[in-house]
Parts: sequence; structure tokens; C-alpha cells
Amino acid sequence: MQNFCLSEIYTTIRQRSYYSFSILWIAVLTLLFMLQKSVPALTLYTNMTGTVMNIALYIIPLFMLLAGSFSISAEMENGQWRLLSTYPINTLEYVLGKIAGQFISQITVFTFSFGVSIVISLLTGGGITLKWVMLLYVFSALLMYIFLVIGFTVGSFVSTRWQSLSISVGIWFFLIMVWPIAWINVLSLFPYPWISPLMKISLFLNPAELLRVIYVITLDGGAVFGQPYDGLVKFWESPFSLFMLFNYLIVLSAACIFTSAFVLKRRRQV
Amino acid sequence: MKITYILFLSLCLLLFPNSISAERPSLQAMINEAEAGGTVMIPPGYYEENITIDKPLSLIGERDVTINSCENAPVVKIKSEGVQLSNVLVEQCNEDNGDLAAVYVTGDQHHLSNLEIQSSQMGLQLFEANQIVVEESTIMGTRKENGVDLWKTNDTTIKEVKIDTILDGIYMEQSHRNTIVQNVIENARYGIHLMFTNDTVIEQNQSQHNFTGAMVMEAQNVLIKNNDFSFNNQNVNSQGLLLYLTSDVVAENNLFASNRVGVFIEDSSDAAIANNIFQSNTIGAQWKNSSDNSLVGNTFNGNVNDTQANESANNIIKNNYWDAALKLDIDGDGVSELPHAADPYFMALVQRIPEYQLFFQHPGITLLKQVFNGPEDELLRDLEPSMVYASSENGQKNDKQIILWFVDVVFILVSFIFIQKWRRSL
Repeated sequence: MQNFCLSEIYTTIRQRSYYSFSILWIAVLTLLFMLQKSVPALTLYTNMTGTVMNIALYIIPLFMLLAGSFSISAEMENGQWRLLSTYPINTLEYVLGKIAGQFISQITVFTFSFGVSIVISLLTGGGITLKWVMLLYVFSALLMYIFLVIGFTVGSFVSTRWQSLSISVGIWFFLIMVWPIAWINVLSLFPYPWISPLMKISLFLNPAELLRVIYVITLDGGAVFGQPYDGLVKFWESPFSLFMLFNYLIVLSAACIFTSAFVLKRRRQV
Repeated sequence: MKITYILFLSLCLLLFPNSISAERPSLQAMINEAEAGGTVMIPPGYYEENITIDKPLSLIGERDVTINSCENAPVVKIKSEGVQLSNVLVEQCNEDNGDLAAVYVTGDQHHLSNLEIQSSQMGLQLFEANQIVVEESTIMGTRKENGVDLWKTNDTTIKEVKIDTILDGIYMEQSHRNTIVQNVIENARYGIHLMFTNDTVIEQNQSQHNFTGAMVMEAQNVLIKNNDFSFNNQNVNSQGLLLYLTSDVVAENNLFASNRVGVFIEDSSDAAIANNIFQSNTIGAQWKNSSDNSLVGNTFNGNVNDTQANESANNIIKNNYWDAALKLDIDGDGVSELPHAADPYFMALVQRIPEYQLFFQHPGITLLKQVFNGPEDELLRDLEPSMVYASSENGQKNDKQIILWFVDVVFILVSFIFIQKWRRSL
């Protein structure tokens, strides 16, 4: 597993695209910090922090889905996978190692870019707060992690990079862009008393949505969700919620990783 | 049976040794003996009686003085004028009579301070009293009756009183020229409730976690300044401040945060809402059937809906800071050239099914907004939105910059070292 992890890190770091990620993150993050700086910060949660969060939600899941699914489908395309299949490898170790390697390389370049963006922002006049910056970092890191894992699951199903691109974009578009519309349409089929519990369940069906809600609540903006979610907001403000989130991430990634490993095992046998 | 009785008696002796001691006179006897204008220092102890003060007198508890009664009468009744009551804990434990107060005050120019009132019914009742001062006290109830109840009471000051778990924190009816300052009111139905009451000043109070922060009904000439009305969202009709059938109300420099509705103006005219902060409310300011009111120089930040109006005309809305607005200032006068109109689409969605509020500011909702348009007549327009927010508070910026630099350097160094290490190890 360690070998898979290290070789994933080395191959990722050797790619030019890896450094273009750095430019992308620096550009986006600097823009976000500049945006945040331009508005008064009465509390942590404002319309602008919401916008910053939305931009992160647009861009991070998409790129992580692509990075994850390409990582496997590229090996399918260039024959590396067929070569590996001749050895008695364990697909679970293969998937775990690749996810770990890919996540470590991605979070490293993201951390580097994040640091550079903070420097630029601080040198041009500050205006960003430590708590907000750290929360944004943790929020982004969790988004990166969970969407990388989902990306790997996508990658294990497809044979070419084109396929993984189209499926990744499809998943991104569904989970990020049309999620509210889809749910409002689905819920219109149910009687009214079902809406509240189904909305709460919907949170757990979409990791981006759950992380978004938790992020808003940790920025003390939980009140914007209104009275029906007072209990939910109270829960996610309590320390126990961290444990809950941790469990959720474990369960979701275990489901994704085992699916991915199972599918790859089946494919190797063919 | 007998043993239980003896045990109970000895337990009482242990718990309340003071109240059993025979030589101590009753409080009422001490009051009766004192001369008008004199001072009675109450020795520490637990007094189970109802007292009436009917002459000018200072009644001051030395320390740990508790007056308790479950009788169907006020525990402390103050009449006459110029009575001073201070440093006493008053307990009212009558469970039956809802009109009963722990402390009942009538007459003029009394001064009540450092009181701690715990009442199963009403806390403090001011009945046809004038020029009363109540300060630095606490009132704790059971949510059945009002904390402080004013009836035809004028020129009174209520200052630095903490009121908790009552029906209405401070209820005023037909009482004029009163001042409510620096009180903290929590867990009430209405924090401050004015009925047919004119010329009231409400300043620097905190009214939080109530159904409604302040309810101003059929009142004129009310000044509401520097208050904190927050977290009033427990009821479907909750709001920070409600103006109903009022005229000439001024609300300035208040904070309305995390309420269901920040300010609700209904059937009212000539209200001036200026320089307030509306933060994280479901609706910032809402009008219904109200005209000739003004909303000037306020800051709207992170509200789900900034404003909404029904059947309201001639309201002046200008120079507010809207965090959701597109702002463009060409001539540098601090006023944006682009008018701001609240987008009612999300409002309409949420009004039908409140659960959808979970999608507030969701990236996908911006898509929806462009597809649908809300009803145009509910739009409130600010033709001259401000570029700068009104508040003087700015606590969040520029703190802990050194830690931020430190964290930043760690971020860059650690990631850079790892990238270099992995590049080299090939």
C-alpha cells in the first residue's frame, strides 16, 4: 500500500498539470481573499463569506473529481493497469494507496497555494481573520478529500479519460448545481409533513451539502436556515457533531473505497 | 408517624434556624415601630410574612435577607411616597392568584434597588405610581405572568434589571414618559411590551431569546436606541421589534440579529428606522399596510431576505448598506449609483415551505433565481444605497495578524519542503 501511495505521489508531482493546479489555486484563493477583504466583517457569516464558500464549492469538487477519476482511468488508458494486473496485487490496497497518495499531493499543493494567497492578501492590507481563514482551509480540505474519494470510485468504473470526464462533470453538476432544484422537484411529490425529515436526510446524501451547512453553522450563520433547523443548528454547534462528521466521512469513504476495490477486482478477472 | 414529624421539625430547625428564633420581632413590627422618614436595617434571616410599607421609610437588608410568602397577597406592598427598599430577596410562591405580584407598588417617588424577586406569579407591579426608580435588580418568574407590570404609572425609570422566564419582561399600559435603560430580558413572550403608552425611552437594553424583543402597540413618540434585539425567533410570529398602530417612533443604532423578522412595521406611520444593524435575520425589515416611514442609513448583512413590503406606500428607503447589493460608486460620494432591490424569489419559495430555507445562498439557487421572477409589487427599492456600512463596530478585522502570519509561514514551508523532498527522491 505504501508503494502505491509513494508512486502515486511521485507520478503526480512529476506532472506539469500538478503545478498548474498551484497557479489555479493561487489565482482563485487570492481572488477570494480580496473579495472577503472588501466588505466589512461584522460577523464571520456575511453575504460575501457565502459567496466565497460558493466559489470554493463550484471549483474544488469538480477538480477533485477529475483528479481522482483521471488517476485511475489514465492508468487504464496507458496500460499501467494491465501491467499491474499481472502481479498478485490487492485492489483494496491499490485503491487506498492511490487515494492516500493523490490526497497528500493535492493537499500539499493546495496548502502551498493557500499560504501564498494569504501572503499576497496580508501584504496588500490584511482584512482577513484567522478563524475565517482556518475554517475555509478545513472546509476546502474536507471537500477535497471526499470528492477525491468519489472521483476514484468513478475512475474504477470507466475505461477512458473521456468517460471519466463526462461522468465527473455529470456528478458535479448534479451534486453542486442542480441539487436544490432536483430536491424541490422530488419533494413536490411528497405530502407536506414529509418535507422536513426528507430535507434533513438529503443533507447526508450529498457531502457537499452537509459540509456547506456545517461550514455556515461554524461561521455562526446557522440562523439563516430559520426556525425549522434550530435543532439541527444546535446539534452541529456541539462538540459531539465533530465525531458525527468524522463517522459520516468514514462511512462514506469506506462505501466508495470498497465499491471501487470490488469493481476493479472484477475487472481484473475479466 | 411521630418520628417522621420530629425528624421534619428538626430538619426545619437545622435549615432555618433564624426563622424559629423566638426573640426576633417580625418585619412588620419593625416597620410599624419605625418613624416616618427613618431607616430600618433588616438583620440577616428568612422572614415568612407579608409586609406593607405605608409611610416614607428606608428598608434595607443588611445581607442575606429573604422575605417569603405563599399567601394570597403581595409579599411586599409599598404605598405612600418616598419609600426606599433595597438589598432584599423576595419570594412569592402563591400558585393560584394570577394577578398577584411579589412586590406591589403604588404612590410616588419610591426607590427600589438591589432586589432579587422570585415569583410564581407577577414579579413587580407598579399600579398608579409615579416617579419610581427600579434599578440593579433581578426578577425571575415562571413564564405565567409579567416581570415588571406598569399600569397608569408615569415618569418612572427601570434600569439595569435582569428579567428572566416571565410572560412579558416589562409590560406598560397607559403609562407615559417612562425610561427603560440597560435591562436584560430573556426567555419572555414579549421582552418589552407597550400598550397605549406614550413618550417612552427604551435605551441600551438586551432583549434576547424571546418570542418578540419589543412590542410597541398603539404608542406615540417612542425612542428606541442602542438596544440589542437578538435571537427572537422561537415562534412563527417572532420578531426583534414590532410596531403596531404607532406613530412617531424612532429606532436608531439598534442591533437586530438572528431574529425571524428584525423589525415588523404594521399599520404604522412616521417611524424613523435609522443606523441600525440587521444581521442574519430571516427577514430584515418588513412592512404591512404602513406608510410614510423611513429606513435610512441601516446596515443589512447576511439576512435571508433584507426587506419585504405588503400594501405599503410612500416609505423612504435610502442610504442603507446592503451586503447583497451590486455596488458602484463613480463620483466617490459614498453612494452607489446602482439602485438596490431585494430579490423576492427566495422569499416566495421559503414562505410556502420554510424547510427550503436550508438552500439559502446555495450555489444552485442562483440558477433558479434567473429562471423565475418574484412578484414585482413586493419589491422595495433603495435608489441610493450606501457604499459603507453605518456601524462603528468592527471587531473582527485585523485581529491576530501575527498568528496568521505564523500559520501562513508554516503552511508554505511545510508544503514546499515536502514537494522538494518528493521531487528529489526520484
